[in-house]
Amino acid sequence: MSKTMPAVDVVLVGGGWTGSVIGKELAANGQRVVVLERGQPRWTSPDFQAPGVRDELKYTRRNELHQNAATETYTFRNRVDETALPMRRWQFAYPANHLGGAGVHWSGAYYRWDPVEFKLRSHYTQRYGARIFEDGITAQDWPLTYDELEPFYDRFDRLVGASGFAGNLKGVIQPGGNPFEPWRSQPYPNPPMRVPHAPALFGEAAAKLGYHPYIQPSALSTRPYVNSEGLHMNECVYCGFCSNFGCEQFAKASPQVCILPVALKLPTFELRTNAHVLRVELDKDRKSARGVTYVDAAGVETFQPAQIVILCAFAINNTRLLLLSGIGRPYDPATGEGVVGRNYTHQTSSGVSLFFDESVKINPFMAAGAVAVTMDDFCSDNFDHGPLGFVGGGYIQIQVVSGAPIGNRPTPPGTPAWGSAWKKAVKRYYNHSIPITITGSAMPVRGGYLSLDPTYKDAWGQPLLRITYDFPDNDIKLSAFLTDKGTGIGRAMRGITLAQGNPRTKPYGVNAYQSSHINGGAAMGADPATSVVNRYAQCWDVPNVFVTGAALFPQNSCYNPTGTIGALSYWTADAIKRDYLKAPGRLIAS
Amino acid sequence: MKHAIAVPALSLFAAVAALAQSPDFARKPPAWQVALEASKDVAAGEAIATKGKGAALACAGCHGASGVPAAGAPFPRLAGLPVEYVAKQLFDYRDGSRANAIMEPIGKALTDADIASLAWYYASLESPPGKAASTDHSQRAWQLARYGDNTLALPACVDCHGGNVTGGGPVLPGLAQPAAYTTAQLTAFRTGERKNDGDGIMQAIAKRLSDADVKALADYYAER
Repeated sequence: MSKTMPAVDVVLVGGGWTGSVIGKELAANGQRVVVLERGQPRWTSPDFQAPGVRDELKYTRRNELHQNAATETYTFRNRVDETALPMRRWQFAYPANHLGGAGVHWSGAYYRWDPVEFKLRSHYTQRYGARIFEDGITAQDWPLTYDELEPFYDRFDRLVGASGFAGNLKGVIQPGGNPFEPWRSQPYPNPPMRVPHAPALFGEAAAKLGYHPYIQPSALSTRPYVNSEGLHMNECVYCGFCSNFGCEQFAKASPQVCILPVALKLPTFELRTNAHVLRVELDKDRKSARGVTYVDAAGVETFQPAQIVILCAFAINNTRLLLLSGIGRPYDPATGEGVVGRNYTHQTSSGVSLFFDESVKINPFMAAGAVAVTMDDFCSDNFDHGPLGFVGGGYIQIQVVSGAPIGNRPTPPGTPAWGSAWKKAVKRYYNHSIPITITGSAMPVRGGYLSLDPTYKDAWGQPLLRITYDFPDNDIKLSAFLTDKGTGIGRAMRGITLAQGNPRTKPYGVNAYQSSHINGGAAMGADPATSVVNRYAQCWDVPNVFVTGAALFPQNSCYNPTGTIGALSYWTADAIKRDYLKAPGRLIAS
Repeated sequence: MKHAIAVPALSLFAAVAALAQSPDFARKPPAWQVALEASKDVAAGEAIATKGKGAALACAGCHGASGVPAAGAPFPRLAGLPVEYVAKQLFDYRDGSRANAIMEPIGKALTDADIASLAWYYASLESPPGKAASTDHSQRAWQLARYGDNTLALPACVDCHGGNVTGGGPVLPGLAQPAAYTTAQLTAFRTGERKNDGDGIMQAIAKRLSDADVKALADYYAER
C-alpha cells in the first residue's frame, strides 16, 4: 500500500527547532509548508504538567522523549578495522523524538559561538603555524563569519527569551558580564538567572584565582516575557526538571512554547505527527528532489511531493537521511574523498567531583537545566595555545541541573557500590557534593565518520547509521589541561574536602554520557570537495534540498549548539526567501 | 630571579582586577528569613495573635481563633500556611510592598521578632482538613488547577502551589482560601495592585485569566 499526498511548496523533515523556525518563516512568506514529525504531538499543557512530568524513571531512565532505540539506533566502532555494534540503550547522548525534538528535553544552556570558531583552521594557522594541528585533524573554516550571523543570533535570542548579562555590547566590554563574550548588538531580552549556592562558591573561587566567572546565559525565561512571535513565556521556578523533561512552566524555550502556536494558525502551515520519513526521492538525473517518502501513523508508505525539501531531523540523523537518499558522495576514510558523513564530532566533556564538609549545603534539587556560574578564560583562543600544542578550548562551571533521586547519588572514590557503607555515604554526601562540569570543543579526524551500517537495520528495514570515531590526541590533551584547571578551582572552594578531576580518556566510547551534542556529516563549507552544503545550507549536488542543525558543524565548538542552530535556521530561511525562490532549483550565489 | 618575582606580582594584580569586576554571586538572605532564624517564639506569637500588640489588633479578630476565619468572611486562612510565606507577607505589608489599608498599620506596629513569632505560631497550627473533592466543581477550574491552559501559556496552579492546603514550598502557599479572598487577590494581581510576587510571575499569570476563570478558581479553592 502506498499513497501520494497533494503537492506542497516545502516539506520539512522534523518538528524541532529548525523545522519550526524555517517552516513558520516560509509559511508566513506564503509557501505551502508541511512539517513531518516522526513522533507524537506533546504540549506543555497537559503533557508536561506536574506531578506527572516530574518522573525521573519515565523521562530520564526510560527515555520518554528520546529516540526509541528499539526501533532506530546507531551502531558504533572506534576504527574501520572493527565491526560496529548497535547501541541498545542511550548512554552517550540523548537523540530526540516527538514534537519539538531536542528543543523540548534540552537543558536551555544558551551560547553564541566565538568568532574564532567560524575560521578555526585559518585563525590557528595564522597565530600558531600549521603545525599546531595534529596530523589527520580535518577541522576547517566555516563559509560564513560571526559578524554575518550576529543579526540571526539576535533574532533567535528574542524568540527564546534568552537570559543573561551582556559582556560585550557592540564591542564595548560591560563590567559584570563575560569579558570574552562575542559582541552583541543588543542586551539579552531577560536578566541572568539567580545563582544557587554551589555556583556562587565556584564563582568566588574562580575570581580569587584571577579568572572571569559570570552567570551562564540560558533559554529559560527569568521573568514573564512576550517573545518575538507574541507568545507568552513564564518565569523559571527552578524546579529542577529541565534536562530530559518538558518544562511545566512555559519557561524553558521550546518550539511548542515559542513558535508552533503561531505557525499552526497560518493557513499555509501544516504539521503531521507520527510521520516517519524514510528518504528523499530524487529525479532520474539525481540533481533535484521530488519530495519525501514517509510512513504515516497507520503504517502506510506515503509520498509527499514538494518543491523544496529541508532536513530538520535530530543532528546526525540528517546525515543518515542524505546517505539513505543518495544525496552527495559518501565519505571514504581510506582515500579521504567524498563528503557525506565526514567530520563527525561529539563534545569533549569532563568533570571534577567535589565533596564538601557538612556546612556546605548544595540543595541540588533547587536547580535548572542551565543555571550555572561559568568561565570562558579557557574557551576558543582566549588563552595562549602555543606552548600547549592543541587547538580548541572549553568552559568550566558549576551548574545545578538536578537533584533527582535515581541519578544523583554522589559518593567519594573508594565507597563500596552497595550495602550499608554505600547507604551511609549517600546520606552523608547527597547534599554536600556537586561536580564541576567542563565542556570542551571536539576536532574531527580523518578516520572518524558516519556511514550506513552494512549489517544492522531499523524497524523499517533501512540500514542504521554507523559511527566510526576515536578522539584525536588533541582533544585528550585539551581535556587533561581543562580538567587540571577545573580541579584547581575546586580545591580553592570554601568547605572543600576532596576535588578529583576526571579527564576524558581514550578510547571514545558510547557507554558514558558526553552531552547530546553529536555533530557533523553534512559540513557546511565553501568547497564542494570538503563540504556537503554551501553557506546557505543548500546541498551542492541537489540544490532544492537544504540541511539544518548540528549536522552542518565542520567541528564542534566548546559552546552548546542550540544558539548557533537557531541563528543558522533564520539565516537559511532568509536566504530561501530572498534568493532561492527567485531562481528555484539553482545554487544560491555566495 | 627577577622574572620569578614579577610573575606573582602580575597574578596578584590580575586577581584584584578580576575581583573588582566579577559580580558578587552570593545570595543575600531576605530580611524575613534572617528574622525567622533569629526568633522562633511561638508563645509570643500566640499572645499577639490573640491579644494584639499596641496598634496591631489581635489577628484572631478577623482570621479566627485558630487561624481559620468564620465562614463567609473575606479574610484569609492563616493556619498551616508556610512560615516563610506568612513572614514575608507581614514584612511586605510593613514596608508597603503589599498594599492593604487594614494590614499596613498592623505590620508597622510589629517588630521583626514579632513577625517571626507570629509566622512560627500560625505555621504550627493545624490546617483545616481539605474537604473531599467535590464533584460539582467547574470543569474549567479543574483544568486550570490541575493542567493549566496551553493556549494561554498557563501552567497548572498545582505545579507551584501543590495539591493540598499546606502549599508547594516556602513562599508558595496552599490555595484553599475563602472565595472572596481568592477573588480579591487574583484581581489585585491582574490590576497590578498586588505586586509582591518577585518578577511579576503571578501578575502575568493572573492577567491571562478571564473574570469567569477567576470566579471558577475562587469557588474551586473555597471548597478544598
